[in-house]
Amino acid sequence: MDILLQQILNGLVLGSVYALVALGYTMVYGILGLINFAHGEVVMIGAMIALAVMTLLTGTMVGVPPVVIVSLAIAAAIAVCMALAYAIERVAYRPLRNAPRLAPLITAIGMSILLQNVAMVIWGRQYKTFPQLFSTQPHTIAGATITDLQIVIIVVSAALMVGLLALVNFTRLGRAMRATSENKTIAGLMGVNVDKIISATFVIGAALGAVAGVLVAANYSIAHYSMGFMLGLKAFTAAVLGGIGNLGGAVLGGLLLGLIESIGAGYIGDVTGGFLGSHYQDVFAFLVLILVLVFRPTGIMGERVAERA
Amino acid sequence: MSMLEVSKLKVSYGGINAVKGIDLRVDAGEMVALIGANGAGKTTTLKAVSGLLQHGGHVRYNGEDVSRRPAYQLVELGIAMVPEGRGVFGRLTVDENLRMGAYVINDRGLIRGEVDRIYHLFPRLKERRDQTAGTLSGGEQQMLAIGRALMSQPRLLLLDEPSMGLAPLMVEKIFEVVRQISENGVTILLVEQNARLALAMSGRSYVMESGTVTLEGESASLLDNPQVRQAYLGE
Ligand SMILES: Nc1ncnc2c1ncn2[C@@H]1O[C@H](COP(=O)(O)OP(=O)(O)OP(=O)(O)O)[C@@H](O)[C@H]1O
Ligand SMILES: [Mg+2]
Repeated sequence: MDILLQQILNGLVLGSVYALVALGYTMVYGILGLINFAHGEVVMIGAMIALAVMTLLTGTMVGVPPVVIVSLAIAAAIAVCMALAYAIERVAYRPLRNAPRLAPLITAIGMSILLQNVAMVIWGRQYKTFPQLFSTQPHTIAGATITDLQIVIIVVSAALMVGLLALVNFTRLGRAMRATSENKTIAGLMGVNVDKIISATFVIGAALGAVAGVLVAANYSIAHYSMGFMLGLKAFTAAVLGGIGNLGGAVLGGLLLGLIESIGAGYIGDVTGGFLGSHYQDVFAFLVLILVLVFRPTGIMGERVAERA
Repeated sequence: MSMLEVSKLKVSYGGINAVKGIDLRVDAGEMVALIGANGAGKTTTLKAVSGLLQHGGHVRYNGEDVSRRPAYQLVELGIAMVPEGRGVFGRLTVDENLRMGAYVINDRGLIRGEVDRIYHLFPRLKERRDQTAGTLSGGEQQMLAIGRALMSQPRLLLLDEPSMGLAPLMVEKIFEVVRQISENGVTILLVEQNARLALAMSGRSYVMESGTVTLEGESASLLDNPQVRQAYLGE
């Protein structure tokens, strides 16, 4: 039983990060019907920027408390990712707003590859060690262990998700985002500058993604130019699982996927008599993606779309 | 100077010329009707005026050429439209729909007051304020669409077939409110298929036929015009 509890905790940590990233996919899909495949790379760049800032500041500002350095690094990551996402929408997607649906999709994939390559040129091919942000001293709860970092991941993710849901449901901007996602023409007749709302959607999703990037890099102590690829694909899976376009669905899908992966990885060895090890963890996400697409393409909470995906 | 002055307005969809160079004007305080059969180009004209469609010719609003302005900027200038088919946000609540109508208004107190005023005008909407608009009946949606347009404090209101698909009693109720809005000083350009009603409500009218204005004048005299009587009043 200890294993199960441990895997549930690990799954929640993983799932929180998936959920944060999934929100970025689902928000953009909700408003544009576009799967922004470059979102995973935005997350990666968030991690890379944070790492670069931390390295720079630790070298130059001796004696500055680590909390300050970490905060500055995260702030820089958020700012860069927001600017990047704004630029991506502006340059790559907006000119294709009225083009056939395949065009922006291919552009998104191209943008994803481009960003990976740019990151590789800037930061190199090697895996980079991501500094420990918090003590890794584990706490023991009922036989399972959890570190400060893992607690921070869960708490920060939860706070951001609650904040986003409040923004979307209870503010003027959020109302305009929902109205725009429902009907851009009519939103325009209300005085909404639809382009601005779409930009805001990209930028907010990128801010969440930047934080997710820092959290995931800290969790594995590693950052790499290609880290956004698998993470992005899994978060996309989470968004589809929850019902793409639906914010609550992205949160639910992320947490569920994290749990499925983690619990699956914990038991796959036993179930297959040691034939498949826990490094087959990634299999679960794609199994889930295929199953959802085949049996319930609208996801758990989605009631619309599907035919557009 | 007219409040709205449309000159040589041309709109085409791909190769199809839907509006072929029409002129029309609406003076401040007037209610003007635009009538015509299906496909005459009425909706196209309203969409061009409200900034939703690119067009040739000119649209002047209070003397300013607003031809190239997108719809969202015209709302700030005081033009609101109730689109054909209502266009309520089905997944937003009634209350949220009204607040979307006040998107360009920054004064929260004013917004609150206006919401109350709309609920006073349409008590049915008040009962359903927390319901999503998609669950409303057609008549309720039309009330909501009109209420929402009023929330932006328009000086010029463009109405596209407010009677469409409604039972006679509901049509009466809606037009009673339209008359009230007009009496409160809002200038109205009304597109209607129900020619009898539109001519009875308005001061002046234009008759459109396949993209051109074929007749115009005082609504009262158009009501007596044999051509109109035969073609649009079914006599
Ligand atoms: N999006 C479009 N693409 C192509 N043609 C269009 C489009 N919208 C309208 N049309 C055509 O333009 C012409 C005018 O249409 P419009 O909707 O303005 O007519 P209307 O007078 O509003 O008719 P109704 O009374 O039926 O609403 C019609 O021939 C119509 O088929
Ligand atoms: Mg029409």
